[in-house]
Amino acid sequence: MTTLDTAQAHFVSRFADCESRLADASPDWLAPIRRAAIERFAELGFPTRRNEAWKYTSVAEIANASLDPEPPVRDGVSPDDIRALLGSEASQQWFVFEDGRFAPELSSDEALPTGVEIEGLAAALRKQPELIRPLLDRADLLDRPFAALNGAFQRDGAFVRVTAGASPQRPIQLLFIASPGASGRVANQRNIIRIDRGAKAAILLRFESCCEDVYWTNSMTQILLEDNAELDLVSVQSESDAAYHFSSLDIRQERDSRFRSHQISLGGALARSEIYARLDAPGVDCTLNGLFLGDGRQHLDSQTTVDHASPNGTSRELYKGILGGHSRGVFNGSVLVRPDAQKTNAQQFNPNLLISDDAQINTKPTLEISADDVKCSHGSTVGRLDEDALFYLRARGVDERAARRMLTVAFASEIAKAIPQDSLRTQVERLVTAKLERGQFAIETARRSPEDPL
Amino acid sequence: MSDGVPMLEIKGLRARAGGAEILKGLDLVVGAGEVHAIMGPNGSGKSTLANVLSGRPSVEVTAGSVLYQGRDLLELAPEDRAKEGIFLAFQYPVEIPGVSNAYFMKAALNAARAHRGEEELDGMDFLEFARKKMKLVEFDEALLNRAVNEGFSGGEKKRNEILQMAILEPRLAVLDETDSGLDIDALQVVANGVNALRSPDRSAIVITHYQRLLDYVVPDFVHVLADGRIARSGGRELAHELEKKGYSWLEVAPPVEAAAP
Ligand SMILES: Nc1ncnc2c1ncn2[C@@H]1O[C@H](COP(=O)(O)OP(=O)(O)O)[C@@H](O)[C@H]1O
Ligand SMILES: [Mg+2]
Repeated sequence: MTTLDTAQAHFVSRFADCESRLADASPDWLAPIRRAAIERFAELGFPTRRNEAWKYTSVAEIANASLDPEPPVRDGVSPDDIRALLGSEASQQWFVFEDGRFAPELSSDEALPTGVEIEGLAAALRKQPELIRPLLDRADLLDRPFAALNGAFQRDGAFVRVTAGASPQRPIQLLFIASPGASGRVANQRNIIRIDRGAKAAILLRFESCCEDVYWTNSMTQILLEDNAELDLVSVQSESDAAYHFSSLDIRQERDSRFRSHQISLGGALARSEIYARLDAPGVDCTLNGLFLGDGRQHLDSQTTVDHASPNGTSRELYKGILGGHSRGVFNGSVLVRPDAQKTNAQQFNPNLLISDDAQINTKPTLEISADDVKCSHGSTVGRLDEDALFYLRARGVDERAARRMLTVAFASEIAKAIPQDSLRTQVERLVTAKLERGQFAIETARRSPEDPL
Repeated sequence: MSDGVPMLEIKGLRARAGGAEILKGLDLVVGAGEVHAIMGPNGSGKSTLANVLSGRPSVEVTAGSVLYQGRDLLELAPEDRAKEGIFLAFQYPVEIPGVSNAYFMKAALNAARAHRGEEELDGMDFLEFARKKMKLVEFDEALLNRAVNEGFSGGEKKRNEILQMAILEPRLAVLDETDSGLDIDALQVVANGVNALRSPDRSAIVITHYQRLLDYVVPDFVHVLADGRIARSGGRELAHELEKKGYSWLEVAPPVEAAAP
């Protein structure tokens, strides 16, 4: 048996052990959904690199890590931990999830803005089964192994609904935090975000940890935008450097809705995000922006699929990578334009900046077009800092270190600048700058390139 | 500055770029307070000379010496040369997306101020200072908040160079064809920028194709650079002669031993 097989068997048997405990925690209708999910996971197993979608990302390390997908509940995070983590942002309104479970005692007790419903999914699925059950009972979500695993072990997560026509002033901020001593734990969290007809909102998903442990965040977020709804979704993952982070975003967009994702990947030993956006109705607008900053031995993988299934859709995708140390980035973006999706306008671009000789990027933007009246473009680049720009700055007296930093920050800044909400943009800029100024990364962004003859 | 030490003293300068020798034994002395014009055919090495002075890494100096205010210039990093008062107005200013023009100029000015032991300017003070300079070079303040040169027209890029020069107040300004492609109004702006800096302890090297600019910035000396050497030096009347005859007469003549003015 390979390591992957052993780990797969371990997760499947762990499910058998916990099945009745999981069933006790949830309404009856969830049991068969869990069962179908674990059966699918048992078929799929841990992905191998023979699987095209996993060609550049090995999960052997996760399989080796002896992780528990259904660990006992702990309350390890204190309000002080949260304050320390958030700094000046701690005074804002936050909804906190500890190892994937809603923690009301750590969350702000301010009143919710009008038109916003937020609670733990475990509670919501008892109260609003008619709304949530069809979302959880989706066989198509099980085709990806870790999404299937999430389906089997899911217990809790965030349920957010913005009701028809509502337009909350402030962003809705969710903090997912790995507890101290989270070692060995898997947080299989499931989030559901629903923006009703004509509503407009901004939501932050921020993943953090209170520890340097080896744990695994396996997150699945389902988003539904009804007709004419609008959402800015900012996700920032700053997991522990030893952690595994896997997040899956499934987006359904109805008529004339507008969705913008701003995805920032900073932490984790191995982090992979998968986005599947289906433009199901005419006139939909979808923007996927992303930034991944890797250093040390980090492996950061972004997989995106934009599925134009209806006419007059627009999608714009810009993923930027900055890689230092021995880090590795993977970008695999595909745009599908189905036969009905005439007048589609789709753009996709993945520029990357390598700041060390040992960093690597595998980028593969793809277009698959089955309609004839469309405008599509895609591409990727891999490069170093522009030597002419560097010289221009230096010739004006800016030190080489500062000049390199300025250009690196400038490369990254485009993604944060596209976030319309001031408070979220500022927060993202702060986290990105902190990463660029941290440890090895700081040295490398300022290091002179080996080709530089000076 | 101590008496008698020239602003710049270049001796036997040889430099390579892109695998070929471009400067082939160039001599030039620029005294304090002087303005020198350098003219010469395309490809003769004018920009390469400007690059050597500003320290561009892709140009390799293989022989000769360059003294700036009596000190070895070639051992200084580009940023240190700038902080010591050397300014190059680029022939082709670089676009730098994501870096704001104001932020960049403030960083440049403060680097020089810190080097001179002066207090750094904060955002407000910088803006006040920059506004005066913008007026001098008729610079549209909106361009200050854009990314450095990004999407600027040719003329806006050149004005941006002159604004930076006005802000940094260099001791030795090198203008590389800053006048090319400019209309007469813009040309006057460039001239105002250079003339405003003229003083007994500042010097300028003005590289140009056209004698037109020299009507406004009257040079003390004119040199012709041909095939990597100074082929001819003279007063401002040389510029008029070049305007009439072109450069072809120079290429047949053997290069004259460099005449330090
Ligand atoms: N980096 C470089 N790579 C290749 N060739 C170069 C480079 N820099 C300059 N050259 C060549 O050197 C010669 C002189 O160039 P330059 O100094 O720009 O001339 P000028 O400014 O007088 O027109 C030209 O033939 C040019 O093509
Ligand atoms: Mg030139």
